[in-house]
Amino acid sequence: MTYDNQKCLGCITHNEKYNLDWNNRYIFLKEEVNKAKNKSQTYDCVVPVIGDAEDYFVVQEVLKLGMNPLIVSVNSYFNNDIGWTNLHNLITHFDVDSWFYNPEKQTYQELIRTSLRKYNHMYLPWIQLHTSFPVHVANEKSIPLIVWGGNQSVEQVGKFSHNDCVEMSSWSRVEHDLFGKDTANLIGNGAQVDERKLNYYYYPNNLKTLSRKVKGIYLSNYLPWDPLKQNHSMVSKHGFKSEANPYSFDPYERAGSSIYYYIHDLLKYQRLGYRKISDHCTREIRHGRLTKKEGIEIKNKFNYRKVNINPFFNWLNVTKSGVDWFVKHRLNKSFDLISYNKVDFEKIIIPKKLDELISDSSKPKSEFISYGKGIKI
Amino acid sequence: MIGIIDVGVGNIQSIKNWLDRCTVKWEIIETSTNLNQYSLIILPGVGSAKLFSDNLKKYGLFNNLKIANERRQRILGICLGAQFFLDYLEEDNGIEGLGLINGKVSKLDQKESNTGWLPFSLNKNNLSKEWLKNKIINSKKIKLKGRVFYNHNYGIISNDKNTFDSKIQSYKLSSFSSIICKKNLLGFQFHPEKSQEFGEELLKMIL
Amino acid sequence: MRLGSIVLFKNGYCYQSYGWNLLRPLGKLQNVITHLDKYLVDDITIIRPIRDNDNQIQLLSDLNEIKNIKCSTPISFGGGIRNIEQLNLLRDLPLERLVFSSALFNKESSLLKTAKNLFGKQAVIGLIPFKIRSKLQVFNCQKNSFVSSDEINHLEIVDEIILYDCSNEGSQSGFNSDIFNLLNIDPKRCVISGGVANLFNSFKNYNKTPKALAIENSILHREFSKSNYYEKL
Repeated sequence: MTYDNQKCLGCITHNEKYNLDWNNRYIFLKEEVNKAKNKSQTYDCVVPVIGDAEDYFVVQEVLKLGMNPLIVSVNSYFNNDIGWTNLHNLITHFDVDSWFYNPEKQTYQELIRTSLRKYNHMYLPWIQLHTSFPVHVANEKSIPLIVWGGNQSVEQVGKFSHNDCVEMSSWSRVEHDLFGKDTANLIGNGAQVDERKLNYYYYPNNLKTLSRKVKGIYLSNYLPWDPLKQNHSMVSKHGFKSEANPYSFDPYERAGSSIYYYIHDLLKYQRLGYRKISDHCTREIRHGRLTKKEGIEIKNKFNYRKVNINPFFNWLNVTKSGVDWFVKHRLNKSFDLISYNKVDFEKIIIPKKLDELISDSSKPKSEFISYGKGIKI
Repeated sequence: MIGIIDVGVGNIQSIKNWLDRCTVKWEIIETSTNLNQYSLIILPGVGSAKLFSDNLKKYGLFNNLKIANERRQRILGICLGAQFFLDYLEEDNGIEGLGLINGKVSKLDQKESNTGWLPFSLNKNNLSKEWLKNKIINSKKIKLKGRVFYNHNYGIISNDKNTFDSKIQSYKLSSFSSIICKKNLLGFQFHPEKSQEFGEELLKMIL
Repeated sequence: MRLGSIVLFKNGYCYQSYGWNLLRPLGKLQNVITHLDKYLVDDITIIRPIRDNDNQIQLLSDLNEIKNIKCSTPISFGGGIRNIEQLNLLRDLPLERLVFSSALFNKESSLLKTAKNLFGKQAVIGLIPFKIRSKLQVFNCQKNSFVSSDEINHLEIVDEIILYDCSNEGSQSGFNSDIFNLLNIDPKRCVISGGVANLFNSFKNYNKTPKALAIENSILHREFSKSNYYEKL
C-alpha cells in the first residue's frame, strides 16, 4: 500500500471511477470483442474460472457480448461441496463448453509443502496454475482473448490507474500474482518433483508469438466494478450458492473454498499483518456502504476469530510433529488465531446498507473434496 | 580460459554477464600478466581512446597484446577494442593503435553518434581458419542474421588485403566496418554483449 | 527511431510516475528488467528520481542492486550522480551509458567531461525534464524546482538529450513537440519521453524525427510486442 498526501493509492484509483466515461469504455470493450471474433476460428475467448460469484458475472457479461467462450478451470483440490455445486451449475446454467485440468496430486502437494516451507504461502502452486493454464489453452488452441474479471492490483491497491487499461502479462503475473515467486523458485533445492510434470505451472515462454496471438483483458477496466453488488445479483439471476463465511461479511468472494478464509487467510496475516476482512471493509468504505468507523469496528470483530488448521494439514498428510513445528516456527505471530478444533461463531450485525447486499447463505457439508461429481438439475 | 582485459576505463560487467550466459569460464586481466595461458583474449573498449591507450601502456598490456598476436592467440576486440587493432585512431587528436590490421579509425560521416540497432549477418565460413580452428563451443550454426547494437562516434576503415571485412548496414555509414577478421583477430564495431538473443547466438558461433 | 523504456528506480524498488506528482509502485528491478529484455525493447533507461539531496547510503544500495542485474539489452543509468567520486562508483556495472540532469545546471563541466573520458562521448546523455504552460520551464533536480531554460549549460558535451515532458508523464500521448524549437535542439539528438506511448507513427512521418522514444510506465502494462506496437499505430 502506498500513499500520496495521506490518501492511499487504492482510494485515489477508486475515485477515478466516478469521472470515467463508462459508455465509451464499453465501446472499447466491444471493439476488443469484435477483433477477437474476427480472429477466432473456434472459441472467441477463454474464461478462467474458480466457480465463485465473480466468475458467474464474467460469464454473464461475455455471453451478453455475444462471445463463444471456453470455460477453463484448474482443480485446486480445495473445493467444498458448495464450491463444486457452483462450478457445475456455472457450466450447466450458462450451457457453455468447459475444460478442467486436474494437476497430478502428488506433485501439487509437494509444491505446496515447499511453498509453505520457503515462503509461508500454501496457495502459490495453485495460483501459478490458475494464471498459466488458461494462457496455454488459448495459445495452443489459438483463442485470441482471455477474459478475466477484476484486476486486483487496480481494485485493491491502486497499483495502476484505470486510464492505463492494464492487460494480462507475464510480468504482472510474476510480480503481482506470484509475489515474485515463479515455479522455478520452488524446485531445485526445494520440491523434489519430476520437472516433466510442471509444464502448466510455467507461463508459455514464446512471448514474441504469444503477444501476437493472445490478449488477456480485465472486465474491471471496461465496467464500473462493484464486486459486492455484482456478486449479490448472481444469486437470484443465475442460482449462485453463497457460503456463510465466519471470517467476513462477504459470502460470495471465493465461496466454496476450504482454505481461502482459513489457513490461507491465517498465513496472509502471518506474512502481512492483516486478513481478508480488511480488504473487504476497505472495499466497502470506498463504495460508500461503510463509514471508516464502521469499517474499523467490523474488521476488529472478525479479525480475532480463530482458524481450525487441522483440516488443511490432514489433507497435506503432515504429521502432528510437523504441524507443531510449523506452528512454533512459522505461525509465531498468529498463535492466538490458531485452533485445532472446529470453531463456531455468532453472526456479526452489519449496517443496513451493506446487509441489503448479503444473501442468505449455507454452510458447507464437506470440505476438501478432490472431485465433485454432478449436480441435481 | 578466456581473459577479459580491464584497464579501468568503462564497464566490462556486461561482457562478464554475456560469457556467463554461455557458461564459459573467464578471468580478468588487469596488468601485464602472462597472456599465454588464455585461449581467447577479449579486448572490450569503452571510453575515450586516449585514456584507453594510456592505460593499456601503463599496465604493460599494449606490448603484450602485440606479442600475443605474434603467438597467434585469438583476440576478440569489441567497439573501441576492435578499433585499437588498427594503425591509427583520429580520436583525441590522434592515437597510435596496436597496428595489427592496416587501416585507421576515422570520425563517422555524421554529426551524431551511431547509437542504435542495425541489421547484421554473418556466415561462419567468412571467418579465418585460424580463428575457427581453436573454437571453444561447437555451435552448428553456419549463418546468422539479425540485428546488433552500435554505440560509437568513430569507425573502422581498413585497407588490409588479408582481412575479411563487412560494412555497417546503413546507407550513411557503409564505408565503415561492422566486423573485421584477420587470422587470429576478430573485431566487432558493435556490442554483441548487448545485442540480446542474437548477441548470444553470435558468441556461441564465434567462440 | 529507437523504441526504449524508462524505468524509475529508487530505494530498491521500481516506480511509475504520473504527471510528475503521483508515484505508483511497479515492482522489483530484476523482474522488470527481465521482462523488458524478453520484450526486446531497444534500450532501457534506469533513472533514480532524486529531487533535492540524495542519500549516499541509499545510492550505494541502489547501485549494488543494479550491479547484480542480468540483462542483454543496452542500459543507460542516471539519477543522483553529482560528483566525480560518485562517477567512479559506476565502474563495474552492466551499464552502457550514463544520464546526467543536475550536471547540466552546473557552472563548470568537470563532471560531464570526466564521464566523457571514462566512458566515451557516446555514453554521456543529458536529461531535461520540462513543462510548457505559458512559458517553458525545466526541472533542476538538485534544487527540486522548475527554473528557466536559460540555466541549462553544456549541451555540447552530451551525445543525446532526453526531453521529458513532465505534464504528460504517464499518459499515452500528448508529448509537447514545441520543446524542440523552444530549446533550439535538433530532434535527431533527442530521446523523448512523457506522453509518447502512442506517438511512434506520428513521428515517423514528421520530418523532424527524434532519435528515440523512451516509454515511461506503460510497456509493462500489457504483453508488449514491438511489431504489435508498430502495427497498432
